[in-house]
Amino acid sequence: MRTCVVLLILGLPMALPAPDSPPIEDQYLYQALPDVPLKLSDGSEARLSQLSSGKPLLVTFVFTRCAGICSPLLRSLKGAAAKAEGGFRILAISFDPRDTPADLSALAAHVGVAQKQGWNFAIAAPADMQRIAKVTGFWFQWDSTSRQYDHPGLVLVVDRGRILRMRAGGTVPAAFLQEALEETRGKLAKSYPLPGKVAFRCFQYDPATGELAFDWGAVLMLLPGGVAIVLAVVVFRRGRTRVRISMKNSLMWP
Amino acid sequence: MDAAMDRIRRVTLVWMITALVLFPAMTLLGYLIRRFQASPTPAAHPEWFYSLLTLHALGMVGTWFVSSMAGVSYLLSRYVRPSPAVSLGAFFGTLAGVVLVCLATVGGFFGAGWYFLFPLPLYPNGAWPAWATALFFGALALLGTSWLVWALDVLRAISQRYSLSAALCLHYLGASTEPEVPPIVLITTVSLIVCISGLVSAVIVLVLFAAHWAGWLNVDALLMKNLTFLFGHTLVNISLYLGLGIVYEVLPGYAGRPWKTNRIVAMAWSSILFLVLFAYFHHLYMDFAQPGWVQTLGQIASYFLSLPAAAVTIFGVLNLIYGASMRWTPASTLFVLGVLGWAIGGVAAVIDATVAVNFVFHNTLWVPAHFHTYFLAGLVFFVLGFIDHLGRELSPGEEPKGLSKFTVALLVVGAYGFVATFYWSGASSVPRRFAAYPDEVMRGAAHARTSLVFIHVFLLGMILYLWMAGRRCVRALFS
Repeated sequence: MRTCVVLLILGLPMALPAPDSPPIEDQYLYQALPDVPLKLSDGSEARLSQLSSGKPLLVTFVFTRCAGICSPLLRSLKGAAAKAEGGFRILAISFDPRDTPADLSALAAHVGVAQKQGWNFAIAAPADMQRIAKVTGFWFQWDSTSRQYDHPGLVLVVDRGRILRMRAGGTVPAAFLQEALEETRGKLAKSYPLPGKVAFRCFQYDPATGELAFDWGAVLMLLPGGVAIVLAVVVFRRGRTRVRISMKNSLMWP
Repeated sequence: MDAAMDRIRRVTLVWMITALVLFPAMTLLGYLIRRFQASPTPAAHPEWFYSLLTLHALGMVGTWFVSSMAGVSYLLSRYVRPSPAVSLGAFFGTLAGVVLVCLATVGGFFGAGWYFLFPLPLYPNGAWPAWATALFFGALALLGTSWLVWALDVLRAISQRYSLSAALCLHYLGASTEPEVPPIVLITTVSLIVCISGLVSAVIVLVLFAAHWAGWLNVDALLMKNLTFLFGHTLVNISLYLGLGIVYEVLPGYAGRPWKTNRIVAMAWSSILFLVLFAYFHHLYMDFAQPGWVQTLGQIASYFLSLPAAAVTIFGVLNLIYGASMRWTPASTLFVLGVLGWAIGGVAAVIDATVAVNFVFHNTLWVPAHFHTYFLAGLVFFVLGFIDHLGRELSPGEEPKGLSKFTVALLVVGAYGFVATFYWSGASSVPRRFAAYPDEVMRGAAHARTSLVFIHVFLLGMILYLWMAGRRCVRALFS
């Protein structure tokens, strides 16, 4: 409806977003993750709230037979986590009902985090996985041709059970992770990129230096003032050419 | 009176009579808003609160902008010739815009506020339909276009007599006082250039909203907020300045003394042209993505934007009336009281524009307190004063003096009592924009109930005012 209205107003074609696009962070921030029971790769059981208590929790979703994004994403997360300061836990949840604790242990070993402290691999029951998917925007669908699940790469930064930040994609930059963890400690994140193409940002934030640099949006902020002055000059120049007509000495118009 | 002047006079009367219809209507909406907040229990439809708030705020800002514009256009016709046809076109554009805004808010429950901050209008979560958002934006586009053309026409009229540097009184900054430029020309020129920048900003915001809505691009929320307040803040600011232009032009007639432009007046008012582009940053102190130096710039610009013009104007008014044989009519009384209200609201605004204070006050009713002070006890008094002046000029006649004094007294008591309840709430940390108060700040409901008493007093004053000045304007229009 909204799109139609805009099209009616502008009379222009538009590009519809892809139906399988990754979740948009803005729509899921501050959602509470359901406190579901999890079966961990060491065979023990824990609730999600136990893993997210006391420390920030990074959550990602994988399946062990993934031939695509899962392992690269986990490796990227491992690299970013190695550079990040402060305490936190990482939880990779399998959404594939076929996965077993042994499969998850094998995946952890494959990625090289089996012995790393703070890393957890777990299985959620299908119904619980659906509850998690609902509040995170994560989705997965079975593709019988490739015999693989189609799914986005997603990392959630969870603080006290709620989603504080979210990153979609196949990589986790160290800067993103550091900034998000600082946010969990109450430090305000000055700025961060929105998903997709953001037009005319006012400033670009460099998480490495903490500095803000001007971007094209800042120029756009000055544009109205510039346009107003140019218009005033044009109006007055045109006016002055007509003036001489009937200028008189008296202050009042004749 | 020649035919052109007669047309200007009639168009001005049409504007003023419209303002006298819209203002009480918008005041009644304000009354309903405070009724919501006065209730100890949440209302059945809290979403109505936000649509009423949106209509009330946009209605008031629009009403007082067009009224002050029409007022200065009329007074400027002593020196230059703004087109009555363009003014009339702006009138019909405004009327159509008002109808669309009413449909969007009352019909569609659009409730994103008159500042419609991105991305709220696009994500109502079921509170209003998409067509209401489209209507609201359509209304803004219509109003903005009408007012932009009107502003350009008034500048065109000024340009036929003065060069840009003369209209900005830049020659006064040197030693020259020739050509002599009345303050209203300077104030109007500065205000309208600033007005154009605000309206251009609104155009950019609307285009970016549409592009985001259509899914073409993601928009930077920080940029949108900056541009939205460049529009909103400047529109409110220049409405006040245009109102002051009226005072500079009309009040000397009641004092029997001239109020001329001099170097200090020229310096104070022309500096606004530059400062107003940065003062609106004080609306973004809570936006931590905005760099600290921008916030500091906003604080400095806010101080320097308000203080010189206020100091010069207050000194000018006191200088004008001190020792003069003033003719105290409702018009002159309202002008002087309006300057007082503007000054009080301005001080409250400067306090709120201080970063450290704003961190505490920003989301409290202190903010509505200060802008209601300089609007209700400032600009509204300027325009009501002008309407009274216009009515007496075009349709002479006297009411009993006691009745005039009583009317002004009701307006003053009503206005100050009303804003006092806002200050009271602000100082007690009562949050703004709450349809109903939670138990922790239930004192806000008591303050709102108190404010209703003063709204009644103000409305009683307005009824008497309409009976006097309104009737006179209608008589003048049809004479």
